[in-house]
Amino acid sequence: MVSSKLTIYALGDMYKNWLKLLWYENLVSSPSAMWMLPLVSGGGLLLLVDIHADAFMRFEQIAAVAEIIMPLAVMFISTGLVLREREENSLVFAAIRSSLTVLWVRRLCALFLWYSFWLGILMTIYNFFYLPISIVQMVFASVSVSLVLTGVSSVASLIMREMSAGYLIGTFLWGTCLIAHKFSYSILGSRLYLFYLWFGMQEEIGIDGWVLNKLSLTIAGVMFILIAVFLLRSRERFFT
Amino acid sequence: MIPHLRTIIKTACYEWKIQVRQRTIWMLAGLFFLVGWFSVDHNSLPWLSAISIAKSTSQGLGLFGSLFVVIVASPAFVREFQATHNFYWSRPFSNYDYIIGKYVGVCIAICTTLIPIGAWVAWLESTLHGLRGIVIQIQVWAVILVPTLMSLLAITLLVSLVLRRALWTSLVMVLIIGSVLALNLDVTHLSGFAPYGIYVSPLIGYGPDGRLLELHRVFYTELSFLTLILGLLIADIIAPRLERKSNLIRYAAGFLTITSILIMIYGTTICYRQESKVLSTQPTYEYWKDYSYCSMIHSYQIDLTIEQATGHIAGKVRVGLHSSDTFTQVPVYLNTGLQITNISTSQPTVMAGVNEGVLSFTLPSRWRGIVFLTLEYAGVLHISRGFYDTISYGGERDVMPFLVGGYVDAGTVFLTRDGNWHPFPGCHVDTLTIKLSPPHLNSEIMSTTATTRLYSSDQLILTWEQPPLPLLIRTTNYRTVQLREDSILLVAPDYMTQEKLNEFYTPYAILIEQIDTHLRQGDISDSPPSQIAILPLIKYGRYDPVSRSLFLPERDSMMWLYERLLAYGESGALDRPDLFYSRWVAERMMRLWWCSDIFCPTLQVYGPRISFQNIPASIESDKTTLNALISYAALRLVEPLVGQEFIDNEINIRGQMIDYTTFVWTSGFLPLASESPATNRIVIRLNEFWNEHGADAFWNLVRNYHYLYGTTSLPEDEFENFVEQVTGVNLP
Repeated sequence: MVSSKLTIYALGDMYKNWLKLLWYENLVSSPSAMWMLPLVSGGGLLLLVDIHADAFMRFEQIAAVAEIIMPLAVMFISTGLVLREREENSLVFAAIRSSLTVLWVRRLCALFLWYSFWLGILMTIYNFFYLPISIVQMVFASVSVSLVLTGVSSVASLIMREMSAGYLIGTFLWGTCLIAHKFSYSILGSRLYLFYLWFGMQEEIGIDGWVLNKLSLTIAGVMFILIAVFLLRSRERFFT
Repeated sequence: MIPHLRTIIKTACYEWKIQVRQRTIWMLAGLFFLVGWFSVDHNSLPWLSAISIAKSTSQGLGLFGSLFVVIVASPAFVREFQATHNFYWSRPFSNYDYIIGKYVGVCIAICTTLIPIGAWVAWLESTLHGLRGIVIQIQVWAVILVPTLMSLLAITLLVSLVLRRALWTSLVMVLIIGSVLALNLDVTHLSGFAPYGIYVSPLIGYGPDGRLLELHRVFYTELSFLTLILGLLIADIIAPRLERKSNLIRYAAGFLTITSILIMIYGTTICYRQESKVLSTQPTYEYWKDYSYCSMIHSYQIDLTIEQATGHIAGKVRVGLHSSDTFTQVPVYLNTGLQITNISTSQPTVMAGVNEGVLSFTLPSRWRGIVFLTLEYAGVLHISRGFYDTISYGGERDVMPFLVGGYVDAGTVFLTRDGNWHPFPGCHVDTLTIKLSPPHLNSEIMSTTATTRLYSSDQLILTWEQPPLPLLIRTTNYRTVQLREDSILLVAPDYMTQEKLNEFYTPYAILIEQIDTHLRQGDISDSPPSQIAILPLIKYGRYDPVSRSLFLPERDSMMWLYERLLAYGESGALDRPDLFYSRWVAERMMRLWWCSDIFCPTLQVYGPRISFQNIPASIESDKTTLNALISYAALRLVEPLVGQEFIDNEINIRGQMIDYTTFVWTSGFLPLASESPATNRIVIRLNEFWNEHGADAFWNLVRNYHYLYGTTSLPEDEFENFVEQVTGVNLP
């Protein structure tokens, strides 16, 4: 009895410590994320003002927030998770704590947790006050797009060793899928097009294949992130 | 002044150096190249004019460049406000000079990234259109790209100075720009940072969109200056050091500069809105469907004066109307840019007036005879986007002809028949006089059947005294291409390559000869050489068999069709694209000939089905017999170009399509693919008629039908009677 209680306390402490660690990791690596994600989510509440839109229009707008706007913010924040410190010449302080790969993955997890938290809140509000939706569907849709954008921009920035390069490639992909949406849909196909829910509603082609699309995007995103992990070579560390 | 300038130049130079040493800049150059590459339609490259290549690349680069430059510029603009760059603030030079220098440096760095794509486009232009193509590229890029990028860099500077973080600036700007570009709801498609969907022509440049584009670009240039000045003020506020004290004169100068730029922006916005309103006005199309009012017109004379430099048109119309009613109303379909200034009548007892596009006149009781009215009108032609832009409008408007029928600017003027540059379009005109000023002795003039041509010191006077209503072009920059011995092509200098011109337009020249041989009556031995002119804005073309003048549209659906045919030809689905293309040209030529002296726009709404797949039912009327006659006549007309075997194949396919109404792929690009089984049946009967009674009997039949029935499509039984009546034999 006592030992099981101790185990529970120990586990609780461990989780508490982990959460604390992730919180500080977030706070230190991307202070912008601490207020930017709540701010962007708060901006998403503007949709509630639009009371004239019908259900289809509302779904399209929610999809735009989840697939287009939020992932862009995540992409911008995530690209600088490690490279910001490198460009500011303070990476040495970060690097002596643990290996860069562990550091980066931990920061990425912290960021995605923080992001999912605010996205979940936003979608819950939409669900109750705007349009009944599947919160899981929207969160999955948003996270998968964010993973791809994060992966692509991280790979680009690590190859070029400049954050702006990642922003540029990420924005190019994002902008192409948004501005030239028909063209990019024809090139990327229904599996890899980024804004499938939004596009499906806008072009009235249906969203039946959304699960496959988001799964493919998630796999692609994880693959890019893995590549980025390999690109964080040990010589990035500024100590021997 | 010189130290200031020196600081600006030095800062710009070093900023440029810093920028080009970054890998991001070279990645940006690569992305620009990618965007530019995909902005050009490589399949139709030989058919593209110099200006359209320059336009498409600059629009693509403008659209994506708007996003890219923000990301590259925002870190540069806030660099000195970061912790490790404090040494800057201990230097003696002015904030203003330094920030202007940085702005200039970043602008030059962005220009540097455009060099690879610019060089590639220049190579493309010079290969296809010579050195003139490069000049056009520079002009178009300067108009479309420079104000866009300048203004966005200035706005980025302002936002980054306010937010003082590159990340936030990039995110905010990318979201704003992405929203503006993606959610652009303006039908003119010109409200974005990079204007797209604008009209462009090798002959008349931006044409009706010219003024709007000019205002749009001026607006963004002014905006960039204003934003830059505001950015400097903010930099002054947030700078961690005190600048030298500004005296009152400097404050006053700054205030005056900002005020004058604000006034300029306000003025430009007002003009832009007005211009946009004119262009987006919904055009009226009523007369296109119903021009029965023409039957009330007994005589119709037009006297037109055109001031080419200003585009001003002054018209005087004398019209004789017969009516048995005391109160009569006749619609007036005058262009919205032309206003009626005066109405007078030949009889003082007749009361007449025009209100909201309707001419009303009251006759004395027991009036018998014709009342003559004189209408005077003046103004400048308004060309709404609905008349020429197929992007903004779909469906019914997509297939409308160019109802204005005219265009006037300093370099080019053209008037085609049935345009609303006169009050009763679609009606028969007895006499037309056009006075053009200045006379422009060296300009290329192409007109049909003008009976007199007089030059005075300040005017050229052209008069027509016989139908059909003429077609007229005058332009200072046409070039002449010899297609065949007796056929010339008038075309804008940078339209398409010489080889493609010959390939594309020679079938027209051959078919004009065919029409002369088979369909024109009277002596044709002294016929003038045929002239083919390429006109902007028009959709279907016009043909005058008397003067052998053919007017074809610059943006031609035939060109699109030919490209596709060539592409399919490579894949083996259609192994002779040139034959299919000639067949389509013959169909068009027959319909143009049919409508040469009759107003029949609905008959011309016929072409590659992909362009007209959304033809509303209201436009497609039942013209089974007429379509069959025209289509078979076209098939026979094109025989020298396609050969008998092609004709036999088409007849066979038509035969199959009577029984199997499903789509026959091999005939997918033939006019018959869209025909009803009834039409195909009549075509086959006409073919049997040809086989049994020969060519002369058939062409005699066509001529007589055209003369007697015009655009009326007879029911099949009446058509059989007509054939028997004209030829003395039954239709098989």
